[in-house]
Amino acid sequence: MNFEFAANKRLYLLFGDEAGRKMLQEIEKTLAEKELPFERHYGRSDAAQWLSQQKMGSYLYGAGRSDWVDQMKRLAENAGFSEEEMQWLTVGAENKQVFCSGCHAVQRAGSRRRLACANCGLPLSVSEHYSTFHRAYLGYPDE
Amino acid sequence: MKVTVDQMIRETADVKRFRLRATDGRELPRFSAGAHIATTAGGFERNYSLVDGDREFYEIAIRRESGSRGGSVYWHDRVSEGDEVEIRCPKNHFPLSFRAKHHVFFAAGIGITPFMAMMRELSERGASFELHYAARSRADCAFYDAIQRRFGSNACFYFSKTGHRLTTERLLELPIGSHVYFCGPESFIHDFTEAALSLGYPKGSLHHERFAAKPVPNPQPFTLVLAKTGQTLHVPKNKTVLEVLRETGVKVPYSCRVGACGTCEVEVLKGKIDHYDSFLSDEEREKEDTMLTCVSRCRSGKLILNL
Repeated sequence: MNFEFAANKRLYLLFGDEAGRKMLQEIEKTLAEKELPFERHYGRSDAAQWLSQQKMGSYLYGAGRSDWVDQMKRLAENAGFSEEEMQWLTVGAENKQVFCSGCHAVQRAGSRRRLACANCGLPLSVSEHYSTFHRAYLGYPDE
Repeated sequence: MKVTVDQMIRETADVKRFRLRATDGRELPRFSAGAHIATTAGGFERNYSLVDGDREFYEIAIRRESGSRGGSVYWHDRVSEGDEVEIRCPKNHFPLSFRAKHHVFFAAGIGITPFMAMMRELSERGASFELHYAARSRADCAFYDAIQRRFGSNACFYFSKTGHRLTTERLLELPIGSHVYFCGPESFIHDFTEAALSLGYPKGSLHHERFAAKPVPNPQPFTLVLAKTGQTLHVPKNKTVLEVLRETGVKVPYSCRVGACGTCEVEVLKGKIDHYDSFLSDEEREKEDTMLTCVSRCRSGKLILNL
């Protein structure tokens, strides 16, 4: 798994926790080779404020542990970053939030691709469709 | 539906505002900010943005374009208070984004019209917005007083006669989460869209509304074949595929007629398409299997449509 290069951005933001640093190295190398402007931000304590101060045309690459990514992705969305303006990678085991299409409960799926909803028992298949509204991946009834 | 011109208000030397009420006194359909109505007056069918209104009345503003095909001239010179005109229900191809943290409107001239309703809605919602409005001079600036009174702290005016021009530099300092909306002449929309994309704005944060289709440089005539009926039609250089289809009696849906809404999209079975729409994605255009008949043409002399 690696980041895709997003062309034609005025500023690239490399954002990670301690675990995410390594994953950001390759994209950093690409940006340096292309002589594109970028900033590194690791382990920031003022992430919400920093994210909301960014300007249109910025592009965010984020990497870290699953829970950190979930939390920071939410801050980035609240700041105004859209899906078109950021990419995230998870270090280690994923712990996706899943939205049950039967009863609408949101729960952690860990790294499972299939699970039974803890609230209604419906067998769910975890999709790649992320809902920014529910802040979770959509879980469809498992055929 | 039939509406009666209830009031005409002169905004500037070239712009008149028309207040319309249902002729039968009924309530008018609701509309959302950015919507337009199709009007038929004097045989001219034209779309105009709703600048204001509710269930009781609609308001449109029209700039007199003497060099145009006659619709605006008819409204200015021939329509009087008390006249009846035909309109269709409001449609919205230029809605406000529900994702935006901050809405930024860029208007040139009569391009201000959809933003009047948008600013009203956002102001009522307490949402964040700003307006950048270019006109030749204050005297030519439609709605100047109303904007100053209602949205003054959110508005910047640029009058070219005084040397104060609106430039794409305004795009440099917008905060993340902004959505930008462009409305005005083709060159204005093109320049601002290109500048935003080159700065790295995502396409999903750019919105525009055209009053006219993109100009086609040196249009060529071509042949149209309808696969289902076997009909062969001729598209002259001064007509669109949509116009030819409708004149032939082929019932195809359409709406905006400027290549923006996608209502008239048809499947193309064979032929090279010359795209002039702003609706399809680059990937969809490259596939050469679909076109918007209201604006797009042919690069290979013949198109076969799945009609």
